[in-house]
Amino acid sequence: MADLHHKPTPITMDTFLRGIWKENPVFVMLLGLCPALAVTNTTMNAIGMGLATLFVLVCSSALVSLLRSVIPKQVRIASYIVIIATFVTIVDYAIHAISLELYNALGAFIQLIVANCVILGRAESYASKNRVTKSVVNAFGIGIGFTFALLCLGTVREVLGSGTILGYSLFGESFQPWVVMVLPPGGFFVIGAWLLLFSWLKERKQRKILKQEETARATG
Amino acid sequence: MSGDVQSQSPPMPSSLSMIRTLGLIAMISGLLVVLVARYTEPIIKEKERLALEQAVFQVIPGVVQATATRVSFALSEDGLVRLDEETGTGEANLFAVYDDSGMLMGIALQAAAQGYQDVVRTLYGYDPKCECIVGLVIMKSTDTPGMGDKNTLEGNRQFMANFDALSVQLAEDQSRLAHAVETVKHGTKTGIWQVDAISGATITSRAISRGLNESAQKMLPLIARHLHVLKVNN
Repeated sequence: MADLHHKPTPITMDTFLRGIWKENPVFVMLLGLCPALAVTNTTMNAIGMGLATLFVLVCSSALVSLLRSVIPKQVRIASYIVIIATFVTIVDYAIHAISLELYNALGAFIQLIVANCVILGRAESYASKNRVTKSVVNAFGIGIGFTFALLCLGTVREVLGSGTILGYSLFGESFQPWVVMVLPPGGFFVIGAWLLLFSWLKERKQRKILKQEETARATG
Repeated sequence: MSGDVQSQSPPMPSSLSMIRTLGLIAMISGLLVVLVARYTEPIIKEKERLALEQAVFQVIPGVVQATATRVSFALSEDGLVRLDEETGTGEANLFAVYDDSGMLMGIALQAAAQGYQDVVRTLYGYDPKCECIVGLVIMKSTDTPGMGDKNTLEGNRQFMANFDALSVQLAEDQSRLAHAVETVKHGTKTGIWQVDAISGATITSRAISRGLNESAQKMLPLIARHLHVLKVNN
């Protein structure tokens, strides 16, 4: 069973923001790449998948955290999978009831949220060791971060691959879309470009810090 | 070292405790899933019915939705059964559309065949007067985005024009089609029963024509037998 005797750390803004930027599941941890590449050919699909994952992440983290004191270590993975599968089934029914078009577009990838390592990873490394509120706040941040990443991919792919955004035409009839962008290779091109940008930003920040330190050392 | 690890590891819980926990989780899971399924089932059915209704009017040309009537039927070797839309009894496989005077405007039928990634589902309009397919709506296609998906197929005017008057004439014995509906390579269409494939989405194009052919081969001979009943909305 989870160790519940350590002193709990308080909930800070970082508990929530960490998942969006510093520990972004797609751009930093490179987790959940299968749905991130497969369904982000349009912005709407990206939003749909992102919100579905966010819902499953928050609900499963809450339930795992709530039951953490009664789940024996030996059956924890089986328990987490059942909990996650429950919320995936719920979200599957919900999307089917909300929009048939979105349900058909996302296809089997809704059911495959069960296998998304971001969710199982959160349950194992965070929700099973923290209180419900803290786990929910953290899961919410991670979910927002995942949705943000999917949105970044989906928007670029739809704009370049179809010349539209959320179905609205941007460049008129004369635009020749880059069909490759809405195909699987396009997913790899776009995620590669985003990773390059994030890595460049990170390096620039580190260089700035080093420069500041050097200046401080020289003057001090 | 390994001895230290073993001595520090927590004691093995009893099997009963593990079974109890898994049972509890399974119960919570079952309860939640059943509740949501029961709640969403009528909503999903209604959405599917509305989508089908919209599509039925789309595949019959010249329909004025405000005055037209749609009647659902179950057609099989056993006969033609008119279905009650209000109570939703039975599984409909034929939708007849009538004008305001009750005369048959066309018949909508469903077709499906395996595409590149999943089953491609379509709804097509059949006009018994010209014995041809007069319209087609892609109900579901999740094939390659940008090539064989629903929006791309429906947005390809040249491909959709195949279904403006696609011949599905019956043979003399009325038991099968005179010419099977088939997909041919882009630009090589010679017959009015052939579908000109989309270049780059040949598998999806073939799935559509295969679905149409299977459905027409099965349903049109049956429709011919019951056409006198279908012609007027009583």
